[in-house]
Amino acid sequence: MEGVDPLFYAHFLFRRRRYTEAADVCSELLAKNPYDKAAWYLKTRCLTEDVRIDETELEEEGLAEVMLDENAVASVPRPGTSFSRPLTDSGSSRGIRPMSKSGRPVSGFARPGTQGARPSTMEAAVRTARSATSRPVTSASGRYVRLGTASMLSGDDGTFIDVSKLDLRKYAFRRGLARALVLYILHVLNDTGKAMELAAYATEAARFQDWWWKAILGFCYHRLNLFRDAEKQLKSSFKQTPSILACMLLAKVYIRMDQPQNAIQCYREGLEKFPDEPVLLAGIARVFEGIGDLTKSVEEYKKLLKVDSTNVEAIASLAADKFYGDQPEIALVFYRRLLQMGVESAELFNNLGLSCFQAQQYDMALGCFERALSMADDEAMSDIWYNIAFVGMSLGNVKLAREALVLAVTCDSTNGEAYNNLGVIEQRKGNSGDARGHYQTAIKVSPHIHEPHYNYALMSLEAGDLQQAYKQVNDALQLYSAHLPSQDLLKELKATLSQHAS
Amino acid sequence: MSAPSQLSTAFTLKLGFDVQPGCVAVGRLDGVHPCLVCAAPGGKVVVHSPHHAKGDVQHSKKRSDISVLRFNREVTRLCCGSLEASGASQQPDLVFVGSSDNLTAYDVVNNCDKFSVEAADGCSALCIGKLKDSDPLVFIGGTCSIYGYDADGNDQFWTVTGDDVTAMAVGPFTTGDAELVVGSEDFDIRSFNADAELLVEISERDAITQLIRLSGQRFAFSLANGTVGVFQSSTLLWSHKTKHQATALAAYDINFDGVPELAVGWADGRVDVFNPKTGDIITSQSMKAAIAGLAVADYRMEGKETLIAVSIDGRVCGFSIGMQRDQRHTAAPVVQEDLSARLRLLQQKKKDLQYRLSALSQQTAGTKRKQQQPSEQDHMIMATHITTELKAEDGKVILTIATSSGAPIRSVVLFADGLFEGESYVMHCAESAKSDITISLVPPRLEAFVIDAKVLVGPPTATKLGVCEVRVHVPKFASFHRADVPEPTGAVTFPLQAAQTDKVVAWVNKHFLLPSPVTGLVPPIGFASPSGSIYLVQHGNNLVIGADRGELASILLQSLTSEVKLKAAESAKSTFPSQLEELQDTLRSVSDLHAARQKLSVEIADQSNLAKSLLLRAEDYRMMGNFAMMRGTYLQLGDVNRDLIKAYNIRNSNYDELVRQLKALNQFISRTADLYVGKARTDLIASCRAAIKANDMDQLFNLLKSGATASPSSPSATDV
Repeated sequence: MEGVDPLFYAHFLFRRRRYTEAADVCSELLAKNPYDKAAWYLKTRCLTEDVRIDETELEEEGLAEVMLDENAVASVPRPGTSFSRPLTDSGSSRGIRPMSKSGRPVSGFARPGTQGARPSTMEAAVRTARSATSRPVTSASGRYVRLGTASMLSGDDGTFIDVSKLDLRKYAFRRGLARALVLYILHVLNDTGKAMELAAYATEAARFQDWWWKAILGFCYHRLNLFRDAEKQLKSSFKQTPSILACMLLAKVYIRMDQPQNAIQCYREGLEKFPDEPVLLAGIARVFEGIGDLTKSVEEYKKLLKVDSTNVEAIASLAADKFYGDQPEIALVFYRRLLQMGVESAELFNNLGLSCFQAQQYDMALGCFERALSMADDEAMSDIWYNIAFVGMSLGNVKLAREALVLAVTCDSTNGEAYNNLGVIEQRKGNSGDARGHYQTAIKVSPHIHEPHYNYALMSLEAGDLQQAYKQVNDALQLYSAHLPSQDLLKELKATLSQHAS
Repeated sequence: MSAPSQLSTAFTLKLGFDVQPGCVAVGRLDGVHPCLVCAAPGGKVVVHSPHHAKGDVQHSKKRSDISVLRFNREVTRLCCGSLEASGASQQPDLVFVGSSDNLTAYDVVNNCDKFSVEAADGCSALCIGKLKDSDPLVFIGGTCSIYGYDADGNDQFWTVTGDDVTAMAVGPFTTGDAELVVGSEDFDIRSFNADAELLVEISERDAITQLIRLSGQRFAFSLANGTVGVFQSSTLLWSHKTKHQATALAAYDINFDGVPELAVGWADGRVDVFNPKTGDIITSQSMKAAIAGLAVADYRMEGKETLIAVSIDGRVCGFSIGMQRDQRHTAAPVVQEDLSARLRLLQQKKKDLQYRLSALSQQTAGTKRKQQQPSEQDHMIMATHITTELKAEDGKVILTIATSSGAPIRSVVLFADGLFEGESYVMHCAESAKSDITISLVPPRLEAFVIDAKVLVGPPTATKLGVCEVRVHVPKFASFHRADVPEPTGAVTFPLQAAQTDKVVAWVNKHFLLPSPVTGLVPPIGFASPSGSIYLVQHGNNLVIGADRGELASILLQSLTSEVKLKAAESAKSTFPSQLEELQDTLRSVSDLHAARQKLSVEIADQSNLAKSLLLRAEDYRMMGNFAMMRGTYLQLGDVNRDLIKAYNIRNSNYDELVRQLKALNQFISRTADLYVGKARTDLIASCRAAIKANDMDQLFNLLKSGATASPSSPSATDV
């Protein structure tokens, strides 16, 4: 690119999202003239955009926040008004729709936050953090710090901007530069305190009339877990100039404060100003899913799909709903649509395989599972083998099922469902010792599922260990109080015990 | 005559939490069923909901009746109510929770905040009510200021008072329209109308602790010194002083006559019900610990109201009326009350007569034994008249008591509420008995006092002493003595009509201790006291009140205007240059402290995030068995913790300082506003509010400097 103005060239690269190259060009310009504001501005933008993630939709609570913070007002809220107590009796029951590792109904679309529930003890929390999920320790240190390290690599000649040496008050009056700078501080340097200082000066410089700075202030407060202050700033920003940014951030704040009703209200207000905004529609759907109101969630996803026909999240969620709603053929249509759109992952083929199997297209099912296995990582692999075992069991091929389950637990030793099924197979074969071992492992690795408790109780009853049976069936009922077979078993047990007593 | 109304225990329960005094309320949180809401230490709010909606049956089996809300801030005041303008009957109540820096309106059923606003002046009083022509507002009183918020959390009402607000109630007090009645630390009860105009100001003997509306224009109050009383449109019906402090007041109709009686909860656990007209105790009950709050509600949904008392150790006791319900309309209650009042009166009379009889019989027994004729001494004592004289001297009031006959004074008992510590002052002069005695009094504040003096007269040898009673009136400005003072730096000037001069002179003669009455205002009259000097002079058609400090001038002016109707006082002009410097300092430090506070809270949030992650990391190491690393991490955590505590202490002192400065600012606004009367006063306060809201300190300064009430033309802006 000889003869082109370097600054123009840098802009050209920036527009094409070739940020590193653009930054290099700017660095050369700055080497010639360190006071070139345009180059300085562009380089700041490049470095920021290189590492920035749009956080308006992403919500990830760190372990520390989950364990140590009490942001929620109500400790025992009415079911369905809080994320910690989802509605239990709406949508499909637990017998039909399985739970994820955290004890929430499996969602069609994996987002940060959907896999992890609130662990009850610190020990459980730390253990799951290490093995199963990738929850950060705190939201303030976890993900952001990881991103922060990226900036250190880029600065081979030391960091680009040393914020501690800047006079932030001075920058607050340079509107364009200040905005680029605050984003750089937030996303690259990851110094929320400094960003806040700058934002505070800048809003003051704008005589508290600039919605963008208010939103950024709110964003900083949110990062620091100062939710009340964040709420105030974001509300004021939205009131002054409605923006999707402020609306999304405000809803995020409400979600962190465990006030789903307010979050929905906030999204709805946003939708009044920005009708049919897919991001807001998706937000509502997610909140409904979070409080366990799956029916309403599906409705919102349908609205979203009408607006944005290529929304992967909506398609996947609807597919999952149809699948568990006993309409595998329709689920198949949705999954095929995903395939058409070019989404290709082990999970998708796995789901396709299951849907095919349920729709009685057996030849397709095994093919899909094979494709899934070929592109799966360990965790997904375990689930795929589990599903193959399920197919095997349904077809009466116990040998295939057993082999597949053994492979499933080899891939992921915390797959409680696989252990449970393995136990059932061993019990059928008469190896009650092995079966008990499997049930016990299942209970230990997945304390949220009720099936191993029930199976264990059943086996203990047959073996005459009434006390164990009583204990296990009670545990099963505690996890899932509407489980009819457990209730019957308990009744039977009580009758037997009273007979023995008399 | 029917049996008097009795309270009987209807139900008791334990909350299992300590309850903070003054933080008890009952509300229909779902619009139908009453729930008891109490604040517990540690920022918790306990909700006891004995009733459940029908659809909620399967949950109620598992849920206990008590649920806890966590606000993570120490709750200072709490109340329940709805702010919806339409009076729909099934309107769910919100819980309003006030803490030292925040007011939150929380919808319990839907688990969401309706609004949450910053309360920079703290929250020491909270009430809900509807003033004339406005939507219902929630009023929050803090250090010297009152805010009123509507259902969306916008402030619709603002004014300042002389001191920290301690109690508030809404209702028609002096006029027929609803007013906001406010009790504050400076012993005053003030009443404001919807335009925040000060209607009436009543001085009490101690800080007001509670204030409620009973019925009509009748309001009950309690004081920090244990007094309980009732006002009927700004005239005191009765007041009782007791050893214990009243911790809760409630309006409860015990005899079904449609007029609520006054229920009072005491610090020793008693609950008394008083007749609101006479102050007689109708009935009494008691609990084991101090009462934290009283509430009246149809708590068992049985169609009649229950008086609910909550003690500070978390016990709840519901009292219902022992009298049968169907008696309610049979007997004419007015006649009943009349009869019982007469009976009580007669019994009282009987007791008095018995007492006098026994005293007389003792006396006759004594005289019989001694068989003495009244001596000369006795004659002298009997002929004694007491003369008193008051003199102002250097901030003190010198009371001279002398006997006309020269009989020596043995001792003096002075009784005046609020003048001495512990009400009364006794002086013995057995050794050097003289016929006159001087006592120097130091009035604690500028207020008129009435001293009831009992003077015991008799020679040292006498076995019997004469008791002379005399009443002394100490005027409001008794601590000022007449002196020639240099012209003070500040002054208020306002026009005075010629006919009013005499009234002003009369006012001076009435409220000051003067060696000789003044006749005119033309040679300036100067007064001095340790707290400052004042100066009155008439310049042509203008009256000038000079004082070093604005508050003195404002007290004088308010006292003057209450007696002399000064029509033109609205156009007063005032200048107090020395105080403007102080104001400037205050404004500067307020903005500095605000900035520092933000920085500090960000630092603390940052540190606490670090502490949390360290704690988790340490636990992780522990579970992995890596004890060396665990130890290191815990040591680090200890350091972070120390830093956190340090930062917290700094923030705390910053906050205290901020509160102090804001109080000073609010008081300054209040005092400056007191230099004006009527509409000018209200306008000035409104303009100051606009300037504070816009965070425009220059505008505020100019307003307070010039007192200009022209509406500010600066662009309005939302606050930070």
